[in-house]
Amino acid sequence: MRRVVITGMGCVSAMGTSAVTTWAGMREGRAGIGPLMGLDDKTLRTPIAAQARAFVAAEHFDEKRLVLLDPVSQYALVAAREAVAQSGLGFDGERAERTAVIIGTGIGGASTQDQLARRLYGEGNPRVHPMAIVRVMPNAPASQISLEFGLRGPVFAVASACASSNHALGQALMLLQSGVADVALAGGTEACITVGTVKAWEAMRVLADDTCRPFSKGRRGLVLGEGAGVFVLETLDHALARGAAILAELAGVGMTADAADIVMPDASGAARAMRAALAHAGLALDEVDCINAHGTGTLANDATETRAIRALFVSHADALAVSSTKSMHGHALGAGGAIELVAVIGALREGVVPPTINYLGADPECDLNVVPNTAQERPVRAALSNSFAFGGLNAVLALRRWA
Amino acid sequence: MSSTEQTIFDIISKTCSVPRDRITLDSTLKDMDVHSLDAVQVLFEIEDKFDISVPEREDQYSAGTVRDLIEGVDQLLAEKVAAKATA
Repeated sequence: MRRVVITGMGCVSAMGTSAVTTWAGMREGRAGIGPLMGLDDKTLRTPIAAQARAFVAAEHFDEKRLVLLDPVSQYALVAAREAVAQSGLGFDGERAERTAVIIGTGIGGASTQDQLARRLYGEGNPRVHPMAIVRVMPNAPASQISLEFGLRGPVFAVASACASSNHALGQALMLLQSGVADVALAGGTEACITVGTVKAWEAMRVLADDTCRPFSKGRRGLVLGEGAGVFVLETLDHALARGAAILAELAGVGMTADAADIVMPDASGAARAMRAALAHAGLALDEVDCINAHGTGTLANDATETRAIRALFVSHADALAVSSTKSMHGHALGAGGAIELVAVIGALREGVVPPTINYLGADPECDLNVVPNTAQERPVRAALSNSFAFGGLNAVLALRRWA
Repeated sequence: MSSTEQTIFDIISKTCSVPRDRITLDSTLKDMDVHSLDAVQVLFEIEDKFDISVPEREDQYSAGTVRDLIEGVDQLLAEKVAAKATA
């Protein structure tokens, strides 16, 4: 089977507008969560979010281009530019036809949809912007990346709520392994901090009002985030042939469904996905040194995820560093797994596992080494990155250090 | 049976598919095997019906008995009337 490596990464998150700043923030345990800003609605109850505050669209796109771009596409494009620049790849000739673009998103162009509805139903203004459709469609981020770089291979979007990024990256891995493409730009993007989306999450009563404290006692729920992560994947042969600098090996993906409940997580579905990722990667349990947890900060997820990790890893579970960087960049839904892949690559390359911040103390139901509050230095040979979605969908990536 | 009580019994019965004769003042939603997502919907239906906001994470509404829930809603309704009177 063809091996697949990562040669470029790009990111927009509450931690910064690049993978470089995002990783630097994760390493030092910086808070990306802050007061919710910019939404014009007095009935909102949610005081906080992890917004991409440093992102200024006009610094990246001219006015003519912006008319076509919902923030969900803006974030993805900025992340893709950083990833492609780092990889050093050009897309002349045949390579463009052998390059795939697969971008996950949970919602798509949420602000465009929100504004359209407000105009139509709220303001009684019957005129809808002619570019609304091309901004709102969930494949817009993938298509905009294809257009900007002239990429002509398989291009599509993947939607599986909070597992969208990992499903997209896993799909790209399999396309490269199967020989359908040699290069892929893959990841996820989300721009979900709109009045409509925040209110819908409020109604479910799962949002924290203080901050996000995964695995901690006193945790009160999740905090919405936004941003994008995009990665350049290529087959090992392709990367070696051009002398590319390799960041890490994307070694496997495991995908399962719980078929149990539309929202409540299920430990066996999560454990099966982790096991499948390891099997695909050819990794033994005791080769894994850290897990970037789904770790949303809800009561149900964190306890269930702990049970799943214990059930699978048994005696090795206590040797793992299991952290949730959502404590810093919030829950970016369909972009979550891609932003978290920045953390995993950083841990593999630098031997530093980023922390779970805002940790107040142990919850007996979450009794793993969750890297509380401060990063831990340790060699990381291999790592898992967990994403579990509403709908009972699980996607786990397995990565190996490139040394 | 007060009208609040009547309405809340109706909401629980309809939203959670629980027969009305199984609902008692002393039972909690958990006793009646109500799924957490259905419990959230019960609170939504109550908010929508009475035009009030049910506070988050207060056990009186989400984890208490049906009696606790009814008393809480009556209190929220009284606060709403008082707020209107002073406005």
